[in-house]
Amino acid sequence: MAKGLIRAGKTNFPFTEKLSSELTQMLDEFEKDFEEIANELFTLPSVLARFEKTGVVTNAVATSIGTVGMAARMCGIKRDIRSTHPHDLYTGLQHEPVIKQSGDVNARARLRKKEINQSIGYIRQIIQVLPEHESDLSEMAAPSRNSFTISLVEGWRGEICNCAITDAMGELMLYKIKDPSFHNWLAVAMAVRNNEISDFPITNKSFDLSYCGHDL
Amino acid sequence: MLANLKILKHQGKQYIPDITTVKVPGIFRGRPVISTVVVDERAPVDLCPTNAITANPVCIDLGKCTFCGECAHVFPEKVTFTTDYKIATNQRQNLVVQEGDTALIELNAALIKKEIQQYFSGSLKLRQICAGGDNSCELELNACSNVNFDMGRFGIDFVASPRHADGIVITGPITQNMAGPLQTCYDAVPEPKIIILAGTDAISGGIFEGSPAINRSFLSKYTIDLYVPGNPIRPLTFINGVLELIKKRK
Repeated sequence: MAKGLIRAGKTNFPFTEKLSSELTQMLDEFEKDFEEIANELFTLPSVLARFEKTGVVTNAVATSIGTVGMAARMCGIKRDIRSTHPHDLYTGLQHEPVIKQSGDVNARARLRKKEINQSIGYIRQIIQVLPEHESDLSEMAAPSRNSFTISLVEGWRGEICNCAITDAMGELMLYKIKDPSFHNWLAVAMAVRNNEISDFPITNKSFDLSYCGHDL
Repeated sequence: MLANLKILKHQGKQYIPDITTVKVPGIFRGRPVISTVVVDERAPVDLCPTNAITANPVCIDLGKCTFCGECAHVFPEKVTFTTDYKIATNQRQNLVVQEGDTALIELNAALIKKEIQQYFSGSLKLRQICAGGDNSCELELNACSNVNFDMGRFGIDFVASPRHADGIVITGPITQNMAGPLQTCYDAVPEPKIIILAGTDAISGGIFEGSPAINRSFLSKYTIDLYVPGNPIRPLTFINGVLELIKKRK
Protein backbone atom coordinates (compact mmCIF):
# COMPACT_ATOMS: atom_id res chain seq x y z
CA MET A 1 0.00 0.00 0.00
CA ALA A 2 1.15 3.49 -0.84
CA LYS A 3 0.19 5.19 2.43
CA GLY A 4 3.82 6.00 3.24
CA LEU A 5 4.38 7.71 -0.12
CA ILE A 6 2.40 10.85 0.66
CA ARG A 7 2.89 13.68 3.13
CA ALA A 8 0.49 16.51 3.88
CA GLY A 9 0.57 18.68 0.74
CA LYS A 10 3.27 16.78 -1.14
CA THR A 11 4.95 13.56 -2.17
CA ASN A 12 8.68 12.80 -2.41
CA PHE A 13 8.07 9.98 -4.86
CA PRO A 14 7.09 11.36 -8.29
CA PHE A 15 5.29 9.31 -10.93
CA THR A 16 7.93 9.02 -13.64
CA GLU A 17 7.93 7.91 -17.29
CA LYS A 18 9.61 4.69 -16.18
CA LEU A 19 6.87 3.93 -13.64
CA SER A 20 4.30 4.79 -16.29
CA SER A 21 5.65 2.20 -18.73
CA GLU A 22 5.95 -0.41 -15.94
CA LEU A 23 2.34 0.24 -14.99
CA THR A 24 1.19 -0.07 -18.60
CA GLN A 25 3.02 -3.38 -18.91
CA MET A 26 1.48 -4.62 -15.65
CA LEU A 27 -2.02 -3.63 -16.80
CA ASP A 28 -1.51 -5.41 -20.13
CA GLU A 29 -0.60 -8.63 -18.33
CA PHE A 30 -3.28 -8.26 -15.67
CA GLU A 31 -6.10 -7.44 -18.07
CA LYS A 32 -5.64 -10.72 -19.97
CA ASP A 33 -5.60 -12.82 -16.78
CA PHE A 34 -8.53 -10.91 -15.35
CA GLU A 35 -10.74 -11.21 -18.45
CA GLU A 36 -10.00 -14.92 -18.63
CA ILE A 37 -10.94 -15.64 -15.02
CA ALA A 38 -13.94 -13.24 -15.05
CA ASN A 39 -15.27 -14.91 -18.18
CA GLU A 40 -14.88 -18.34 -16.56
CA LEU A 41 -16.64 -17.12 -13.42
CA PHE A 42 -19.65 -15.58 -15.13
CA THR A 43 -20.26 -18.55 -17.46
CA LEU A 44 -20.12 -21.33 -14.85
CA PRO A 45 -23.71 -22.45 -14.08
CA SER A 46 -22.72 -23.44 -10.52
CA VAL A 47 -21.45 -19.91 -9.86
CA LEU A 48 -24.49 -18.23 -11.37
CA ALA A 49 -26.75 -20.47 -9.29
CA ARG A 50 -25.04 -19.12 -6.16
CA PHE A 51 -24.87 -15.50 -7.33
CA GLU A 52 -28.32 -14.85 -8.78
CA LYS A 53 -31.11 -13.73 -6.43
CA THR A 54 -28.83 -14.22 -3.39
CA GLY A 55 -28.49 -11.44 -0.81
CA VAL A 56 -30.90 -9.02 -2.45
CA VAL A 57 -31.19 -5.40 -1.29
CA THR A 58 -33.95 -3.59 -3.15
CA ASN A 59 -33.77 -0.05 -4.41
CA ALA A 60 -36.35 1.03 -1.81
CA VAL A 61 -34.38 -0.46 1.11
CA ALA A 62 -31.03 0.89 -0.13
CA THR A 63 -32.56 4.35 -0.59
CA SER A 64 -34.05 4.36 2.91
CA ILE A 65 -30.81 3.33 4.65
CA GLY A 66 -28.63 5.55 2.43
CA THR A 67 -26.10 3.08 1.04
CA VAL A 68 -23.15 4.48 -0.89
CA GLY A 69 -20.75 3.34 -3.61
CA MET A 70 -21.28 -0.05 -5.20
CA ALA A 71 -23.89 -0.90 -2.56
CA ALA A 72 -26.02 1.90 -4.06
CA ARG A 73 -25.19 1.43 -7.73
CA MET A 74 -26.06 -2.32 -7.59
CA CYS A 75 -29.78 -1.52 -7.32
CA GLY A 76 -30.34 1.44 -9.59
CA ILE A 77 -29.21 4.31 -7.34
CA LYS A 78 -27.00 6.68 -9.30
CA ARG A 79 -24.64 7.75 -6.52
CA ASP A 80 -21.03 8.42 -7.43
CA ILE A 81 -18.86 11.35 -6.32
CA ARG A 82 -16.72 10.97 -9.46
CA SER A 83 -19.66 12.12 -11.60
CA THR A 84 -21.61 14.37 -9.21
CA HIS A 85 -18.61 16.19 -7.66
CA PRO A 86 -15.68 15.54 -10.01
CA HIS A 87 -12.37 16.83 -8.67
CA ASP A 88 -8.74 16.88 -9.83
CA LEU A 89 -8.21 14.43 -12.70
CA TYR A 90 -11.85 13.33 -12.68
CA THR A 91 -12.94 16.66 -14.15
CA GLY A 92 -11.46 15.60 -17.48
CA LEU A 93 -12.88 12.07 -17.48
CA GLN A 94 -16.66 12.69 -17.74
CA HIS A 95 -17.24 9.65 -15.53
CA GLU A 96 -20.47 7.75 -16.18
CA PRO A 97 -21.31 5.43 -13.23
CA VAL A 98 -21.94 1.74 -13.89
CA ILE A 99 -25.46 0.94 -12.68
CA LYS A 100 -27.03 -2.48 -12.07
CA GLN A 101 -30.64 -3.15 -11.08
CA SER A 102 -31.01 -6.55 -9.40
CA GLY A 103 -29.31 -5.72 -6.05
CA ASP A 104 -28.08 -9.29 -5.57
CA VAL A 105 -24.61 -10.89 -5.27
CA ASN A 106 -24.58 -11.21 -9.06
CA ALA A 107 -25.17 -7.47 -9.52
CA ARG A 108 -22.35 -6.61 -7.10
CA ALA A 109 -19.95 -9.04 -8.78
CA ARG A 110 -20.71 -7.78 -12.29
CA LEU A 111 -20.53 -4.18 -11.13
CA ARG A 112 -17.04 -4.82 -9.76
CA LYS A 113 -15.95 -6.40 -13.02
CA LYS A 114 -17.19 -3.44 -15.07
CA GLU A 115 -15.68 -0.91 -12.67
CA ILE A 116 -12.30 -2.65 -12.86
CA ASN A 117 -12.44 -2.38 -16.68
CA GLN A 118 -13.47 1.26 -16.35
CA SER A 119 -10.61 2.02 -13.94
CA ILE A 120 -8.03 0.36 -16.19
CA GLY A 121 -9.30 2.56 -19.03
CA TYR A 122 -9.02 5.70 -16.88
CA ILE A 123 -5.48 4.86 -15.75
CA ARG A 124 -4.38 4.27 -19.34
CA GLN A 125 -5.91 7.60 -20.35
CA ILE A 126 -4.50 9.61 -17.43
CA ILE A 127 -0.91 8.37 -17.75
CA GLN A 128 -0.77 9.50 -21.37
CA VAL A 129 0.07 12.98 -20.13
CA LEU A 130 2.17 13.08 -16.96
CA PRO A 131 2.18 16.36 -15.05
CA GLU A 132 5.57 17.80 -14.08
CA HIS A 133 6.66 16.92 -10.55
CA GLU A 134 6.89 19.97 -8.35
CA SER A 135 9.71 19.07 -6.01
CA ASP A 136 10.12 22.49 -4.44
CA LEU A 137 6.76 23.07 -2.84
CA SER A 138 6.40 25.82 -0.29
CA GLU A 139 4.98 24.88 3.08
CA MET A 140 1.22 24.72 3.36
CA ALA A 141 -0.43 27.72 4.98
CA ALA A 142 -1.93 27.31 8.46
CA PRO A 143 -5.65 26.38 8.50
CA SER A 144 -8.15 29.29 8.62
CA ARG A 145 -9.76 30.17 11.94
CA ASN A 146 -13.27 29.06 12.92
CA SER A 147 -13.71 27.04 9.76
CA PHE A 148 -15.56 23.91 8.80
CA THR A 149 -14.30 21.98 5.78
CA ILE A 150 -15.82 18.90 4.25
CA SER A 151 -14.32 16.78 1.49
CA LEU A 152 -15.77 13.87 -0.48
CA VAL A 153 -13.81 11.31 -2.48
CA GLU A 154 -15.20 8.22 -4.19
CA GLY A 155 -13.18 5.36 -2.72
CA TRP A 156 -13.62 1.84 -4.02
CA ARG A 157 -16.25 1.07 -1.37
CA GLY A 158 -18.05 4.38 -1.84
CA GLU A 159 -17.78 7.95 -0.73
CA ILE A 160 -15.19 8.76 1.95
CA CYS A 161 -16.03 11.91 3.84
CA ASN A 162 -13.44 13.96 5.75
CA CYS A 163 -14.57 16.81 8.02
CA ALA A 164 -12.31 19.27 9.82
CA ILE A 165 -13.27 22.03 12.27
CA THR A 166 -10.80 24.67 13.46
CA ASP A 167 -11.06 26.91 16.53
CA ALA A 168 -10.50 30.66 17.00
CA MET A 169 -6.71 30.14 16.87
CA GLY A 170 -6.81 28.14 13.64
CA GLU A 171 -5.92 24.96 15.54
CA LEU A 172 -7.60 21.69 14.64
CA MET A 173 -10.53 21.17 17.03
CA LEU A 174 -12.07 18.09 15.47
CA TYR A 175 -11.27 15.80 12.57
CA LYS A 176 -13.79 13.17 11.58
CA ILE A 177 -13.51 10.61 8.82
CA LYS A 178 -16.63 8.77 7.72
CA ASP A 179 -15.94 5.53 5.91
CA PRO A 180 -18.43 4.19 3.30
CA SER A 181 -18.76 0.98 5.33
CA PHE A 182 -20.53 3.03 8.00
CA HIS A 183 -23.61 3.16 5.74
CA ASN A 184 -23.22 -0.16 4.02
CA TRP A 185 -23.02 -2.58 6.97
CA LEU A 186 -26.77 -2.14 7.48
CA ALA A 187 -27.23 -3.22 3.85
CA VAL A 188 -25.43 -6.51 4.65
CA ALA A 189 -27.80 -7.05 7.57
CA MET A 190 -30.78 -6.45 5.27
CA ALA A 191 -29.35 -8.61 2.48
CA VAL A 192 -29.00 -11.77 4.60
CA ARG A 193 -32.60 -11.70 5.81
CA ASN A 194 -34.59 -14.77 4.69
CA ASN A 195 -31.45 -16.23 3.10
CA GLU A 196 -29.92 -19.58 3.99
CA ILE A 197 -27.08 -19.46 6.49
CA SER A 198 -24.80 -20.98 3.83
CA ASP A 199 -25.31 -17.84 1.73
CA PHE A 200 -24.01 -15.56 4.46
CA PRO A 201 -20.30 -15.71 3.50
CA ILE A 202 -20.93 -15.00 -0.19
CA THR A 203 -23.31 -12.16 0.66
CA ASN A 204 -20.94 -10.65 3.22
CA LYS A 205 -17.95 -10.84 0.89
CA SER A 206 -19.90 -9.45 -2.06
CA PHE A 207 -20.07 -6.19 -0.10
CA ASP A 208 -16.47 -6.60 1.16
CA LEU A 209 -16.81 -3.93 3.82
CA SER A 210 -14.23 -2.60 6.22
CA TYR A 211 -14.38 -3.39 9.94
CA CYS A 212 -11.91 -0.58 10.58
CA GLY A 213 -14.08 2.23 9.35
CA HIS A 214 -17.27 1.26 11.14
CA ASP A 215 -17.37 1.51 14.90
CA LEU A 216 -13.84 1.13 16.20
CA MET B 1 -12.41 -29.25 -19.52
CA LEU B 2 -9.74 -28.45 -22.13
CA ALA B 3 -10.63 -24.78 -21.79
CA ASN B 4 -10.10 -25.04 -18.02
CA LEU B 5 -6.70 -26.69 -18.45
CA LYS B 6 -5.76 -23.87 -20.79
CA ILE B 7 -6.71 -21.32 -18.13
CA LEU B 8 -4.65 -23.19 -15.52
CA LYS B 9 -1.64 -23.18 -17.81
CA HIS B 10 -2.07 -19.56 -18.77
CA GLN B 11 -2.49 -18.32 -15.19
CA GLY B 12 0.62 -20.27 -14.21
CA LYS B 13 2.27 -20.37 -10.81
CA GLN B 14 1.65 -17.16 -8.95
CA TYR B 15 3.30 -17.86 -5.61
CA ILE B 16 6.69 -16.48 -4.62
CA PRO B 17 8.96 -19.56 -4.54
CA ASP B 18 11.27 -18.43 -1.74
CA ILE B 19 9.74 -15.93 0.59
CA THR B 20 12.92 -15.47 2.62
CA THR B 21 15.21 -14.31 -0.20
CA VAL B 22 12.91 -12.59 -2.74
CA LYS B 23 13.87 -9.04 -3.76
CA VAL B 24 11.30 -6.28 -3.42
CA PRO B 25 10.54 -4.42 -6.66
CA GLY B 26 9.80 -0.71 -6.91
CA ILE B 27 9.98 1.99 -4.27
CA PHE B 28 10.34 0.36 -0.89
CA ARG B 29 11.70 1.76 2.33
CA GLY B 30 12.93 -0.98 4.61
CA ARG B 31 15.72 -0.99 7.21
CA PRO B 32 17.38 2.44 7.26
CA VAL B 33 21.13 2.97 7.38
CA ILE B 34 22.40 6.14 9.05
CA SER B 35 25.88 7.27 8.01
CA THR B 36 28.38 8.89 10.36
CA VAL B 37 28.43 12.06 8.22
CA VAL B 38 28.14 15.06 10.51
CA VAL B 39 24.97 17.11 10.11
CA ASP B 40 23.23 19.59 12.37
CA GLU B 41 21.81 17.03 14.80
CA ARG B 42 18.68 19.01 15.66
CA ALA B 43 17.59 19.32 12.02
CA PRO B 44 16.58 15.67 11.40
CA VAL B 45 15.06 15.52 14.89
CA ASP B 46 12.84 18.54 14.20
CA LEU B 47 11.97 17.23 10.75
CA CYS B 48 10.49 13.93 11.92
CA PRO B 49 6.69 14.15 12.29
CA THR B 50 6.49 11.33 14.86
CA ASN B 51 9.64 12.03 16.91
CA ALA B 52 11.17 8.78 15.71
CA ILE B 53 14.59 10.43 15.30
CA THR B 54 16.73 11.24 18.33
CA ALA B 55 20.08 12.99 18.39
CA ASN B 56 23.46 12.24 19.92
CA PRO B 57 23.96 9.70 18.40
CA VAL B 58 21.40 10.00 15.59
CA CYS B 59 18.94 7.11 15.90
CA ILE B 60 15.72 6.15 14.12
CA ASP B 61 13.16 4.19 16.10
CA LEU B 62 11.34 1.94 13.60
CA GLY B 63 8.60 1.46 16.17
CA LYS B 64 7.74 5.15 15.77
CA CYS B 65 8.86 5.73 12.16
CA THR B 66 6.07 6.16 9.60
CA PHE B 67 8.52 5.42 6.76
CA CYS B 68 7.61 8.69 5.03
CA GLY B 69 11.25 9.00 3.97
CA GLU B 70 11.36 12.75 4.61
CA CYS B 71 14.68 12.47 6.51
CA ALA B 72 16.29 10.55 3.64
CA HIS B 73 14.89 13.11 1.19
CA VAL B 74 16.28 16.13 3.05
CA PHE B 75 19.53 14.51 4.28
CA PRO B 76 20.38 11.95 1.56
CA GLU B 77 24.00 11.78 2.73
CA LYS B 78 22.90 10.96 6.29
CA VAL B 79 19.91 8.63 5.99
CA THR B 80 19.17 6.00 3.35
CA PHE B 81 16.43 3.40 3.43
CA THR B 82 17.52 -0.02 2.14
CA THR B 83 15.14 -2.58 0.64
CA ASP B 84 15.80 -4.99 3.53
CA TYR B 85 12.33 -6.04 4.66
CA LYS B 86 13.44 -8.34 7.49
CA ILE B 87 12.90 -5.79 10.24
CA ALA B 88 10.67 -7.67 12.69
CA THR B 89 12.07 -8.48 16.13
CA ASN B 90 11.00 -9.63 19.57
CA GLN B 91 13.01 -7.02 21.46
CA ARG B 92 11.73 -3.44 21.41
CA GLN B 93 15.19 -1.81 21.51
CA ASN B 94 16.29 -3.78 18.40
CA LEU B 95 13.97 -1.50 16.42
CA VAL B 96 16.21 1.48 17.17
CA VAL B 97 18.74 1.91 14.36
CA GLN B 98 21.81 3.93 15.38
CA GLU B 99 24.19 5.91 13.14
CA GLY B 100 26.99 3.76 11.76
CA ASP B 101 24.87 0.68 12.44
CA THR B 102 24.65 -1.69 9.47
CA ALA B 103 23.74 -4.87 11.35
CA LEU B 104 20.61 -6.76 10.39
CA ILE B 105 17.58 -6.60 12.66
CA GLU B 106 17.11 -10.01 14.22
CA LEU B 107 15.15 -11.80 16.89
CA ASN B 108 16.76 -12.46 20.23
CA ALA B 109 16.56 -16.25 20.49
CA ALA B 110 17.00 -16.14 24.28
CA LEU B 111 13.74 -14.19 24.65
CA ILE B 112 11.54 -16.55 22.62
CA LYS B 113 9.24 -18.49 24.94
CA LYS B 114 10.04 -22.21 25.01
CA GLU B 115 6.47 -23.28 24.22
CA ILE B 116 6.40 -21.29 20.96
CA GLN B 117 8.73 -23.72 19.20
CA GLN B 118 7.33 -26.67 21.06
CA TYR B 119 3.74 -26.08 19.97
CA PHE B 120 3.66 -23.62 17.08
CA SER B 121 6.63 -24.39 14.82
CA GLY B 122 4.49 -26.40 12.39
CA SER B 123 1.14 -24.69 12.86
CA LEU B 124 0.27 -21.24 14.12
CA LYS B 125 -3.29 -19.92 14.02
CA LEU B 126 -3.73 -16.22 14.66
CA ARG B 127 -6.66 -13.98 15.46
CA GLN B 128 -6.39 -10.47 14.02
CA ILE B 129 -7.66 -7.60 16.16
CA CYS B 130 -8.10 -4.27 14.47
CA ALA B 131 -7.89 -1.89 17.42
CA GLY B 132 -8.60 1.38 15.61
CA GLY B 133 -6.45 0.69 12.55
CA ASP B 134 -6.96 2.44 9.23
CA ASN B 135 -7.29 -0.79 7.21
CA SER B 136 -3.80 -0.51 5.72
CA CYS B 137 -2.03 -3.04 7.95
CA GLU B 138 -5.20 -5.13 7.88
CA LEU B 139 -5.13 -5.28 4.07
CA GLU B 140 -1.46 -6.26 4.12
CA LEU B 141 -2.17 -9.00 6.67
CA ASN B 142 -4.89 -10.27 4.32
CA ALA B 143 -2.32 -10.25 1.53
CA CYS B 144 -0.08 -12.59 3.59
CA SER B 145 -2.58 -15.38 2.85
CA ASN B 146 -3.10 -14.60 -0.85
CA VAL B 147 -1.76 -16.66 -3.78
CA ASN B 148 1.49 -14.67 -3.98
CA PHE B 149 2.69 -14.75 -0.39
CA ASP B 150 0.79 -17.90 0.61
CA MET B 151 1.64 -17.92 4.31
CA GLY B 152 -0.58 -21.00 4.70
CA ARG B 153 2.20 -23.16 3.23
CA PHE B 154 4.06 -22.73 6.54
CA GLY B 155 0.99 -23.59 8.59
CA ILE B 156 0.40 -19.95 9.52
CA ASP B 157 -3.21 -18.82 9.13
CA PHE B 158 -5.72 -16.29 10.36
CA VAL B 159 -8.79 -17.78 12.00
CA ALA B 160 -12.24 -16.34 12.62
CA SER B 161 -12.44 -16.94 16.37
CA PRO B 162 -10.05 -16.42 19.30
CA ARG B 163 -11.11 -19.91 20.49
CA HIS B 164 -9.34 -21.39 17.45
CA ALA B 165 -6.27 -19.20 17.80
CA ASP B 166 -2.78 -19.59 19.26
CA GLY B 167 -2.27 -15.87 19.53
CA ILE B 168 -3.41 -12.42 18.52
CA VAL B 169 -2.12 -9.87 16.01
CA ILE B 170 -2.94 -6.30 17.01
CA THR B 171 -3.17 -3.48 14.45
CA GLY B 172 -4.04 0.15 15.10
CA PRO B 173 -3.13 2.42 18.03
CA ILE B 174 -5.72 0.74 20.38
CA THR B 175 -8.61 3.15 20.72
CA GLN B 176 -10.61 3.62 23.92
CA ASN B 177 -13.50 1.77 22.26
CA MET B 178 -11.34 -1.24 21.42
CA ALA B 179 -9.40 -1.55 24.70
CA GLY B 180 -12.17 -3.66 26.28
CA PRO B 181 -12.86 -5.94 23.28
CA LEU B 182 -9.08 -6.45 22.87
CA GLN B 183 -8.82 -7.75 26.45
CA THR B 184 -11.91 -9.95 25.98
CA CYS B 185 -10.48 -11.43 22.79
CA TYR B 186 -7.07 -12.09 24.34
CA ASP B 187 -8.67 -13.77 27.36
CA ALA B 188 -10.66 -16.04 25.04
CA VAL B 189 -7.49 -17.43 23.41
CA PRO B 190 -6.40 -20.68 25.10
CA GLU B 191 -2.94 -20.93 26.69
CA PRO B 192 -0.16 -20.94 25.60
CA LYS B 193 -0.66 -17.82 23.47
CA ILE B 194 1.37 -15.13 21.82
CA ILE B 195 0.96 -11.41 21.07
CA ILE B 196 2.17 -9.79 17.84
CA LEU B 197 2.08 -6.03 17.26
CA ALA B 198 1.78 -5.20 13.55
CA GLY B 199 2.54 -1.71 12.31
CA THR B 200 3.82 1.56 13.72
CA ASP B 201 0.42 2.48 15.16
CA ALA B 202 0.27 -0.73 17.21
CA ILE B 203 3.90 -0.60 18.36
CA SER B 204 4.01 3.01 19.58
CA GLY B 205 0.67 4.66 18.79
CA GLY B 206 2.29 6.20 15.70
CA ILE B 207 0.83 9.58 14.79
CA PHE B 208 -1.77 9.08 17.54
CA GLU B 209 0.77 8.78 20.34
CA GLY B 210 -0.41 10.74 23.38
CA SER B 211 -3.96 11.13 22.07
CA PRO B 212 -6.72 10.95 24.73
CA ALA B 213 -8.71 8.77 22.31
CA ILE B 214 -6.35 5.82 22.72
CA ASN B 215 -5.86 3.46 25.65
CA ARG B 216 -2.73 1.31 25.50
CA SER B 217 -2.79 -0.07 29.03
CA PHE B 218 -3.28 -3.63 27.71
CA LEU B 219 0.26 -3.68 26.35
CA SER B 220 1.93 -2.98 29.69
CA LYS B 221 0.40 -6.14 31.16
CA TYR B 222 1.93 -8.71 28.83
CA THR B 223 5.15 -9.70 27.07
CA ILE B 224 5.07 -8.88 23.38
CA ASP B 225 6.36 -11.81 21.35
CA LEU B 226 6.93 -10.01 18.05
CA TYR B 227 7.14 -6.41 16.83
CA VAL B 228 6.48 -6.01 13.10
CA PRO B 229 7.28 -2.42 12.08
CA GLY B 230 5.96 -0.74 8.94
CA ASN B 231 3.38 1.84 7.98
CA PRO B 232 1.71 -0.26 6.80
CA ILE B 233 3.62 -3.49 7.38
CA ARG B 234 4.87 -5.48 4.40
CA PRO B 235 3.67 -9.11 4.03
CA LEU B 236 7.32 -10.19 3.62
CA THR B 237 8.22 -8.48 6.90
CA PHE B 238 5.36 -10.16 8.72
CA ILE B 239 5.86 -13.68 7.32
CA ASN B 240 9.64 -13.67 7.80
CA GLY B 241 9.26 -12.32 11.33
CA VAL B 242 6.74 -14.98 12.31
CA LEU B 243 8.83 -17.72 10.69
CA GLU B 244 11.86 -16.62 12.67
CA LEU B 245 9.76 -16.63 15.83
CA ILE B 246 8.44 -20.16 15.40
CA LYS B 247 11.48 -21.77 13.79
CA LYS B 248 14.49 -20.07 15.34
CA ARG B 249 16.66 -22.45 17.29
CA LYS B 250 18.61 -21.39 20.32
